[in-house]
Amino acid sequence: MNYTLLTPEIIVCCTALLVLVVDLFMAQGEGAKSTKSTKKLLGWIAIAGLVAGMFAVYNTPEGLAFGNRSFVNDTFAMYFKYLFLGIGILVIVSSMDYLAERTTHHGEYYFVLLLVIMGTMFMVSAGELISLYVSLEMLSVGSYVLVAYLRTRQGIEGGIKYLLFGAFCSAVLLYGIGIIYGLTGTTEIKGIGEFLNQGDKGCALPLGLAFILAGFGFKIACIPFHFWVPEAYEGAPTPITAFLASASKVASFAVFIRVFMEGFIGIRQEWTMALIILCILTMAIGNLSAIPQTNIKRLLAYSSIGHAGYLLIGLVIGTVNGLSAVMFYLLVYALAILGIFMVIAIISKRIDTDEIEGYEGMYKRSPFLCLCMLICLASLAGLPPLAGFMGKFYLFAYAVHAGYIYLAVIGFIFSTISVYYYFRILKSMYFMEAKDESIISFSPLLKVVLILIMLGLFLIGILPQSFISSAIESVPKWY
Amino acid sequence: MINNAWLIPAIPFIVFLIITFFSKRFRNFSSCLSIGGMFVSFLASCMVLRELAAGGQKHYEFSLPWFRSGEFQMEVGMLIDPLSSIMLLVVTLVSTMVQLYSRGYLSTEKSIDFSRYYSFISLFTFSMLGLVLANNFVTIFCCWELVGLCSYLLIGFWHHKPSAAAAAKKAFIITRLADAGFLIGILCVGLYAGTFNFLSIEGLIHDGQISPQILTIMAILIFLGAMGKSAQFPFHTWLPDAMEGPSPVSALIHAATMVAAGVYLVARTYTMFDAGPNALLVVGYIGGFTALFAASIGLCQNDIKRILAYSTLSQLGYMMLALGVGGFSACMFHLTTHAFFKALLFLAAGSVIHAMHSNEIWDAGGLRKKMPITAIVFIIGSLAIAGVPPFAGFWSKEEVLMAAYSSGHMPLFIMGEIGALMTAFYMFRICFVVFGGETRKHDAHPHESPWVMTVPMCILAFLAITAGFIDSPWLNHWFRNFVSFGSHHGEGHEGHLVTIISLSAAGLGILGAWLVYGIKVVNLDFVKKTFIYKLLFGKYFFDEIYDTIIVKPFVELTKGSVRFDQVVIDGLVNGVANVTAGCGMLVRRIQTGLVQSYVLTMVVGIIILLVIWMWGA
Repeated sequence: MNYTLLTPEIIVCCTALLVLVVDLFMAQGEGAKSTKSTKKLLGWIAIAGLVAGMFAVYNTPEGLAFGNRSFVNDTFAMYFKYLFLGIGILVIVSSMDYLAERTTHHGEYYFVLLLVIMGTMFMVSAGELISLYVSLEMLSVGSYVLVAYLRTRQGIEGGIKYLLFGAFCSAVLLYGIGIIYGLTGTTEIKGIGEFLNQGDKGCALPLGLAFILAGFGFKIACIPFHFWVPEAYEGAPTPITAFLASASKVASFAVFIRVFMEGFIGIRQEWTMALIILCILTMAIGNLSAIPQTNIKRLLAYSSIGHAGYLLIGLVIGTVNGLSAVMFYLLVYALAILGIFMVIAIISKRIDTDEIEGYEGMYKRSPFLCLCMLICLASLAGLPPLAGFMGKFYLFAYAVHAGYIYLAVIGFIFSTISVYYYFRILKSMYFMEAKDESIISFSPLLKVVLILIMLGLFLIGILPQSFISSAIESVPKWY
Repeated sequence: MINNAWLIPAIPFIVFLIITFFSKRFRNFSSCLSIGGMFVSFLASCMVLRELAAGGQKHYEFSLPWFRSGEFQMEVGMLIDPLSSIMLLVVTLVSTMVQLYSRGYLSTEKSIDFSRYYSFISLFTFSMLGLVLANNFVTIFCCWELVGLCSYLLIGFWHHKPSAAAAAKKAFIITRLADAGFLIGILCVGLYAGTFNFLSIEGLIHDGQISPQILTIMAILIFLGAMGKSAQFPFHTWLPDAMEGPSPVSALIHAATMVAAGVYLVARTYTMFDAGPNALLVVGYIGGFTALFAASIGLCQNDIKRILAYSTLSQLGYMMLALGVGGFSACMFHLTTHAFFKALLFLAAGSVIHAMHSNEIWDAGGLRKKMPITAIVFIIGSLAIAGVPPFAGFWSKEEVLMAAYSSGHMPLFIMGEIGALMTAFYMFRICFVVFGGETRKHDAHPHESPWVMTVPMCILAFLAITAGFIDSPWLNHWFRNFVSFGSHHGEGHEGHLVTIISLSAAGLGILGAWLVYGIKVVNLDFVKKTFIYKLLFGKYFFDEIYDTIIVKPFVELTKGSVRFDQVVIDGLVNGVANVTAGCGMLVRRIQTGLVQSYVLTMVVGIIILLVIWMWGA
């Protein structure tokens, strides 16, 4: 037993509890006047906890916590833990502003959010299917709550659909895990890999693989397991949408990589074809469906489905380079999408709608926010010299190297289409006349964070080498 | 200091960021920051030069990996050798002087514009220093384009003037045209050498890894870029128009530094030119022709800055000529001295314009009494450029012509000598018209410029007098030994014949100017009726020729292609877009909003996956 490996998770968990307790004492405080600043305190506590978590990740050695592989701390897990904690900080910064006038229940919100972040951290460390499933549920259940947190009509609809669909997929995944356990006699991913390498396979293997693929497909939102995405993204509070689009997706890709590359790598040829089909379908339907959308969050939901498609290319390649490209892409994608949703959160506070129509003439109301939106969307669309370009460049270049030229071509075509709908948003922001020309103001903290995001996108785009190297170093040598 | 040489370009870049984002409103802060930063860069450049001159390593290279794709790695780096360290010193020194001068020259601008000017100048200096320090083609190309951009921004600094906006556009487009050749050259280098690093390429050439024919092609393509930036014939038309920018900009960018970047590029890749047969010959003849051709146009112009612009073209031609005949250190020497005296001449001309509010030389007159300092420094500059000993231009031009003479290319030598005669003539034409004689325009009240403008001029004047000594026999030809490490590219000492011819050329030119404009022995009205005068006054009508044979047909072509674009391409694009949007509407229907149908689709999906598997197995 080596609990020190769990320090980051323990810190996040304790922070969650602390937030809850502090909120309890605050609730008994005096009038409503002081609540606004005291509610912010909760956010700051949560941020402090996540920052401490980052330091803890830095100081945590690699190894196994419990002797078996139910908790593995390797470079792969650590790369993602940094990412989750970073995303968590940005989401909380955005939430502090977003929640202020929408609800008085801040404590529970941060509590659940922190637990969900903890869930993602456990997920990437899970080297064994049961602990993986449990941590995945920790993420899912918390997410259902958060989507419906504000109890708006759309939020409840999205939350319920997410819950129903999620419960179904969770059952499918568990069923798949059961079948694999039955075939291989172990739940440890490494053990499964070793067993399958011996060449002794049962005839039920495809069934187990298909179920597991469906379960993960639901979490990464690939076609045809994506139906919850538009509704949940639209209904959720915007910072939570940002979280679902970034951390939840990143974590799901991480476990996808671990299970398929460590466990099922020996029978690659069996699932590569299926993955290619899912990949092409996801790119096609995700990007095409985004075109007619009028709601910005729905549009981004479909676009994030499309991005899952590009990412699947990296899994199809399946080499160290391919996986490093996926990990790098996840980083740049998360950064851009967080920036976009932060801007949406700020704007929606003033215009009270997420329809793209409401963004008309935004250039006059806040040039800064428009610039942010421009840079983040351009990065998502993959325009140089922004980070998104480098992400796509590596992904497609390695696809060509590995002989999947057609995947690179299809990816290229759909990323061209994506420019169209991304720039539709920009068109209404920059070229349409504003109905209301009042200036949109926001806190300096958000401004600083947004500037940092923009600088980050430029920095990664211009000097990608150190980031891609750290991604390459974090890919474990499973094979 | 050499290990921290990155600071030299970094300082102006930081200054640029600070001014652009924070201090637009504070004119004094912006300008002082910029000048101070530049001065620090200048001191650092001095230290780099001193350390390098003290001996030790021949060159220092620092590089960082930029990005890697497979085996191929791109790097950003610096190469510090005598060549780049001399350029560092020239750029930082002239930039400091010009920025100081600009404080006076642009004092009537609004704060925002004033700060904008300093932010552009800082960006320019950063890019120019980056260009000088670059250790590979890609980095140099990035900086090359950046200086082009800054040149565009600064020529069009008074963008409300249509002529300035047009000149900025012209400069940008013509240099871009030439840069296309440069870019193709760079790609050829990448293709045939497999690396962009200057030193690695030199190594490959020494080992004979690249065939001479290919080297010639590469060298000429690269030279195209250099011709555009240094405004060599036939790309020369943009530089005179670029004089629409403020005078200090002309001094810094269009006289001392950026236009010399073309020469620097050829010097930097000299091994390639040397190894490819005939490549140097092309450089030499283009340079020699430009030197003569531009000088002849300069004889008949009336705009003081345009005369200086043609003079710059001509002097850049001399530098190219020197390179072409193997006078590597002569070229760099002339580049250095030219940077000082030409910057001086532009600043002095700016001072005249500042006082007279007119560029016409015939508007001015008798200014020697009203503006004594300006008059003295201008005459010093003119003596230097005319090649009168002991001024700086004498030494460097002497070396250029000596190299031409000793290489045996007599046509080039003769072109150079005739050009030198013309140079002396047109420079002293300005002197006699502007500073001599009597006041012509009586409603203007010229007065001497403030000290922020005269001090930089005096410093540059001092350099225009003394800079030539660094390669004089009394200092053991220090410059020559430093730049080329004792390995002389055919620079001979052919006795005193060349010196005598050059001195008589300069003397004749000055004498001619004195006869025509000083004591007016020739009737100018008669001269103006001659064909040659009209031809020269009309700049050989190159603008008109280009307009007729290139611009107008091109505009017609673009009109045709616009129609093609609107009908065919737009039709295709819109068709594709409509089909895509239609697909979007179709797939949208999958999202019914009912959870049962979602689950159903998902189950079908799993079943299809299973079928794929079974089928695959």
